[in-house]
Amino acid sequence: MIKIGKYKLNTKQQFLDKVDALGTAIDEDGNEYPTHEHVIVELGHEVLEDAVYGVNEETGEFELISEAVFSDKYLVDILWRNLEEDEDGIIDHPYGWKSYSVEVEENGMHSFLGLDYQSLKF
Amino acid sequence: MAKPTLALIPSAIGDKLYSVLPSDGGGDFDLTRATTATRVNSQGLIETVASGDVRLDYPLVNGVVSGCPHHLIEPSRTNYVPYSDDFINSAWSKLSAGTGSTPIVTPNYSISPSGELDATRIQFDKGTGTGMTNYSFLAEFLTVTSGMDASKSIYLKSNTDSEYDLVLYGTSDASGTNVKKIRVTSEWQRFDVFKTITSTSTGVAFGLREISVSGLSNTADILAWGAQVENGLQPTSYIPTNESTVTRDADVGVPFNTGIKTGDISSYVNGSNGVFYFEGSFADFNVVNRISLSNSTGGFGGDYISISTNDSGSTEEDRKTKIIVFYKIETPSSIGTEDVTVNDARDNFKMAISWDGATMKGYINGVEFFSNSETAFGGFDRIYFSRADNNIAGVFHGKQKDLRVYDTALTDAELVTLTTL
Repeated sequence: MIKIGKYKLNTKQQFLDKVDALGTAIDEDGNEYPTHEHVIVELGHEVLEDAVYGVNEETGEFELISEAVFSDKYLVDILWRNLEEDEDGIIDHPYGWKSYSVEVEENGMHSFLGLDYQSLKF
Repeated sequence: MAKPTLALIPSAIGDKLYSVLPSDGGGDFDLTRATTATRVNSQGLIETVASGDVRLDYPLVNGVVSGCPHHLIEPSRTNYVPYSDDFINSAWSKLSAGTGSTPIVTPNYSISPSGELDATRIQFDKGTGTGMTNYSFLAEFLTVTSGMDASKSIYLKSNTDSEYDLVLYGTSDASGTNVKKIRVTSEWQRFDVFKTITSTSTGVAFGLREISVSGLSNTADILAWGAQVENGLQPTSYIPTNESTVTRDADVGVPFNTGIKTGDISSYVNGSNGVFYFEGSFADFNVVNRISLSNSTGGFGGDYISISTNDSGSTEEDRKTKIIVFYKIETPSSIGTEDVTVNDARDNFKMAISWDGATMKGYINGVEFFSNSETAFGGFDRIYFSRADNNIAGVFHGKQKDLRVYDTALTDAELVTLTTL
């Protein structure tokens, strides 16, 4: 059973801490690797203002005029695999994630290839 | 030549990598992928493969299928271009200045690499002006994670009998590997550029603008399809998008945090005499990337032979031009590391590792590259598309065209024949 969750976390560090809590281990070479089975897609900081492109009036060249402006909020999509049902037969967000879940129309700004968010959301 | 006891030759689509030998299924490999994915089919068309199914991918040369298929095994990737085929969409900026004219975009004009009528005709006209300020091009600007390795790719073809010289570049920095003068011909070609970006702005641009290149055509009438910007230095299989960015899951084993693998194959492998043979190519040089004949109870502590990318190389170029064989004989303890220089590990290669209880040899593309005095292995019982301990951190990414195990050593002449391209 797979489920898709969309989350807006307070900071990137909060996201990293929550991912660590899903499970990691250290291999024989000293590299950290995930022990969980979920697909985590970092969409990055929430964009408050888009980047602006245009013609630089001084040089006449087409270029980036101003970079995007971001909030501290960090957006993440997760394809959860093999979550267990509770005693009522309900599959819910793993502990600590539900408070940060967000609802979007259709698939929102990101989707998983061939999978419909509305059919697979919690 | 002896018959292999296990042979994985891409031949069937399903939820396993089916080995031709043994015929009882004892040498099959598990595989899963949570999302759909695309492949090039036997007609040379890009088509969608169901989630969890193996991808038999056919090689294309100048737009035509050339040769037998391989198993396509890829990491998870996201296409950050939200309108990968929809060039008429306002997300694609149609830009012109100086002597140039705004590109004319006509959707669903011709047959695309998918075989559908969804290729877009784009007519560029930059006029006779040269340099950066006289242009006619399309660009999609994206906001992404800073520091990512951004590969930008697109399928292009001439819409006339003429060939055109265009530019393809990453919008964040049109220099070095991030910009390329390309020749668009009467055959569909996939072009790509790449660079690690240092800001949150990137994107893909193509058309007629002499930015870090010169000698472009003044006009061009082309077909476009399948734009992709992804986090990696090489483009992977096409990920179609429509209004949002889209992620394709990785091809992995079961459970998901392991590499693709066999069950117990100990009865098909002989620790005293044998050959481990692989034909294919690597596709990812940023992480450990191996395929191993191993012992499930030992991991790195038991017997193993691993064919690996040069994951210790200091640069990507260094990592691409060397293939390493790691092996370990548990008792008496002996560890070997043998490397061989290749032109590009993304190109198809044939490698055989042979052992007979006295000598261990390695051959690549018809040439011996090591010969060591070694005693017999204790035994093997798994093949992992990963490191010897089947850790997710070392999974194989690339193309697997042939994989065999022999339970007897082959002669030098047979090894040359087996590995000659």
